[in-house]
Amino acid sequence: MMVAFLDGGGSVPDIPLLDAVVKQLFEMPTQKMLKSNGLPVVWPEALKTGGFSLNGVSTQELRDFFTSLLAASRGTEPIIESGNKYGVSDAFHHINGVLLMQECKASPRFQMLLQADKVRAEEFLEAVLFNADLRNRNPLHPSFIDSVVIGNLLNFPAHIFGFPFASYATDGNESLSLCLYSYREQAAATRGAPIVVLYVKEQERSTAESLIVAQVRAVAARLNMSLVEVEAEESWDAHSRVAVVMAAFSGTALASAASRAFERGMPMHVHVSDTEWRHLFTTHTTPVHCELHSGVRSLTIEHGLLSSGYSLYRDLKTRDEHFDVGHQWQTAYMSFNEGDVPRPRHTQIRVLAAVQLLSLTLSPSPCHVPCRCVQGALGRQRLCSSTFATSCLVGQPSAAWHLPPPAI
Amino acid sequence: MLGWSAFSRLASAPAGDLSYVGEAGTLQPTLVSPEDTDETPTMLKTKVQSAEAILRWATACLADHRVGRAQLERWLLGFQRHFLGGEGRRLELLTSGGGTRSINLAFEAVLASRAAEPPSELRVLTGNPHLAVERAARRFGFQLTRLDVDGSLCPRRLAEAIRDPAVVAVYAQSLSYTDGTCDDLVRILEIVEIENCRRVQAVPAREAERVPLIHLINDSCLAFCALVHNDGTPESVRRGGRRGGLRVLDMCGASGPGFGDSAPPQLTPLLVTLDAHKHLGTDKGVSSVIGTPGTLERLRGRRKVGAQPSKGVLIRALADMYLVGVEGYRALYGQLAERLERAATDLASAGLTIVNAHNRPKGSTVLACEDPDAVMTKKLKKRGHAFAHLFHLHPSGRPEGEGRSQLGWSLSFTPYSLREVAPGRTALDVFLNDLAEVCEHRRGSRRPWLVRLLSAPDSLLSVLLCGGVPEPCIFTWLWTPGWGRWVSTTIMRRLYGQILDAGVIASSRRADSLATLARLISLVFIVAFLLFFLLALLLGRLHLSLEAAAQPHALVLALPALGAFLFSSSSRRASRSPAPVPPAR
Repeated sequence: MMVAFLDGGGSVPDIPLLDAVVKQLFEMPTQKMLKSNGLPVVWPEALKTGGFSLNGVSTQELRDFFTSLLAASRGTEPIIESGNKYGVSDAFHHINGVLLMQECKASPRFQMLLQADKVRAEEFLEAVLFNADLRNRNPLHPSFIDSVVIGNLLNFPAHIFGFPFASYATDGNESLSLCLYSYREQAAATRGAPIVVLYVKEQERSTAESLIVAQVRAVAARLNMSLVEVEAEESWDAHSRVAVVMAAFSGTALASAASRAFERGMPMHVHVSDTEWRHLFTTHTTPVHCELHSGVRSLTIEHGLLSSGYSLYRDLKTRDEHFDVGHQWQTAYMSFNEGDVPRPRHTQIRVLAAVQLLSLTLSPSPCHVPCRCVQGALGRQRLCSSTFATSCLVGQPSAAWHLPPPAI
Repeated sequence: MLGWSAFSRLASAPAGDLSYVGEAGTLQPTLVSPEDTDETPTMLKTKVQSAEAILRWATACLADHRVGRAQLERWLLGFQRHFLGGEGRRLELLTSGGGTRSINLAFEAVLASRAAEPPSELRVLTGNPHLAVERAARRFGFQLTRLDVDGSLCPRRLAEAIRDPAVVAVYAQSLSYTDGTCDDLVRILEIVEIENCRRVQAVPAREAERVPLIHLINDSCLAFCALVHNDGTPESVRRGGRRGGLRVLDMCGASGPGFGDSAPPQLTPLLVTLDAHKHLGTDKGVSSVIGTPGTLERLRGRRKVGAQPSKGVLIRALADMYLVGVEGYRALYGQLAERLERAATDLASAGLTIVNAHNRPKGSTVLACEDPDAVMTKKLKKRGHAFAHLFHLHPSGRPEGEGRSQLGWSLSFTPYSLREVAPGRTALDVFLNDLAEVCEHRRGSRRPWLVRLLSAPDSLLSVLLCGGVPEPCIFTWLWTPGWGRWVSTTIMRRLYGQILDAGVIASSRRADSLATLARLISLVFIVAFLLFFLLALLLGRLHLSLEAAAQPHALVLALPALGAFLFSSSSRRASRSPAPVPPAR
């Protein structure tokens, strides 16, 4: 059985009360670092009323939102702090803003928009790119703005797949690497030397699946884990050092593999390729969400349509495990992903991505419309033969380097 | 913001898994030959350009498909070599999204040189490095040995440990994130070179090429200002002694000038990391790792884990750097270093203990001070300054003496601290003034006798009683396995988790779990109390139950429960609306 998509926007689910209480208790010592100065934020009407906006929000609403967000954070920034802003030259803001704008407008994704949307997108970009307080932020210095933007952005993939926790990385491989590392560490505590990623194959292997498998194999090898492929019906008994089970998102093996993994107490992870992720939006003209088997403990989304890689988790433990904390250092430091700054598509992009997404699908309350299955499957993966591969509104993915340029 | 239909259009733009196909999905180090001495684009060579001219150049580059990654990376290195050294040398380069990722690439390159051996059998020697090294050790599985004394990698201990055949790399830094010290790179390189020579000489000549050499990884990510001031010229060596030369790429190789009395090292493979998004000031996400021939080349064709800077990101970085220019950076960081030197002198004369002051190089932009019971941190925090907390500064025990402590604060200064926040006053001036006032207030004060009686200095109790910030004390627990480490780790994780979990849209998460729990508990109490009455009524013993209800203990139970219920209900109402609350419009 393949993944079923249900009508309606879905929601980021809650976690059991006691877990939430424990989480909140540990958040209390640092909670004030992410507090606003008490001024209100003007949310776009569409978000406030909770409806999904097919046409998005107006430029004015967006400007009001960011203006109020900046006002609400004003006065909370320190006079002197360690690192963060370098302030080499104020002229950088203008130069980088102009160049980013040019890059966005030249991207194939921008070209796909209708004329009216192009105008609006340009105004949105202008509001963010030419604002020194929004462009080029470093979320590793926790602040109110970053938490509002990033938190709501992450709710987008989380509410589609129904996972309570999320994170991001610079690309899909990095997201995948973080999850595999977490499973390796968790399994190391309980099962000795777990070095195997068990991949349940589809009956008929597509080229797309081969690519994903090669990718997973390389990422696993970097973490000293090996990938073992098994047939859907094959017994798993021969593999005793399994850290995590994987299967293709759009394949037929996913549900049964998740069920088997659940029965055996093994975590299951799914890596969604950019093709699959795009397919979700191209085949559904209204918001949908899906409910994956509870055996699927985490999911990663390849970068492409979204500018970064994303990861979703059912429980905090898996995410916590890759939030590295130093045990032999003399200062406290941490990052969400495998690096210190969340890289090329950093915060300004996240601001933009959030801008794109906030009014698209995010509704403040869960979907109350009775769900019905609108599509049984994503279908077979589609390999795009385009000469100029994925590009985003801001920043070009690496593929663009080796492919002919877009016609401008 | 554009709407679902617009998003569907975006999704239908050409894309797919192709980003992982072929070379695009793999690491492709850029080779820089000795002929590529000056890699500055021709139009920018002549003189300092205006912002408009640079914008025109960058725009043309963006549109020109012949300008690819290799070209842009050569330009990047060409500019950075004015500060990093290595001009006229054959080098290899990979760019990454950040310092930790560059460090990861350096370790991957090192481990690839011993691919036949399991990483767990390989060993890396280091001093007191950035967390990135500990993270890399966890991920890649190699052993990590710390040989630090006073914050720096100790050459004497290194010389002893390096003879272990399992040693595959030495990790040294030009500027420590913790306290702004630098390792003795000249001596360290000498030691590594001697060991490499010994390894080569220990085998027959025909096998010499296959001898596993020890790599020197030099972390210069934060060290830009120190690199500007310690370029290895006779003047800087005279001024800074062995620490007067931090440009490792200039120290070795046949053409290198070398330092000290020995001949320039020839054998040791080098890997140097530098972030452009730090003191060079470019947009976030431009870091590079530069290696001597044969180091990074080992990674050619490997899958990328973590995206590299895109064409646009590199062009923006170059535009920024060209705008300021080599001399512009020198002037800016000359000014910052001079200001910080004066600040360090002021701090010392105010009676503060600068952490490992004797190991700080000229141009160090990190200033760290010991802070007994973290009181100063608290007072300065109240005045609007934010610090990195330091803890466990003396692993062998707190030194005796006035003002000495295991706790402290650290600041990594940037040119942003030189901005004017009031007429004629920079942010740094404000900070130093506040610091002087706090020091003046603190002068001569001792820990209260009761605190001395009840608690040891720098303990959590002492910090709380003295009014300091508890964080550094709590983070000290990280050093010891057990519940303390678990608590401090969890607090750290929850802080960053809050950023990720702060979304209120499309969320069914409870806004306030504690209030929900309080409400539930109080409901249980109220229901139990009411049931008690009902039961009593049903049993026809109203008289007795009223007597029982009038007992103080029953009221003690009921009233707080009712209060808690009302409170949690009101707080629930307040937290219902997305925080922050949208106003009525």
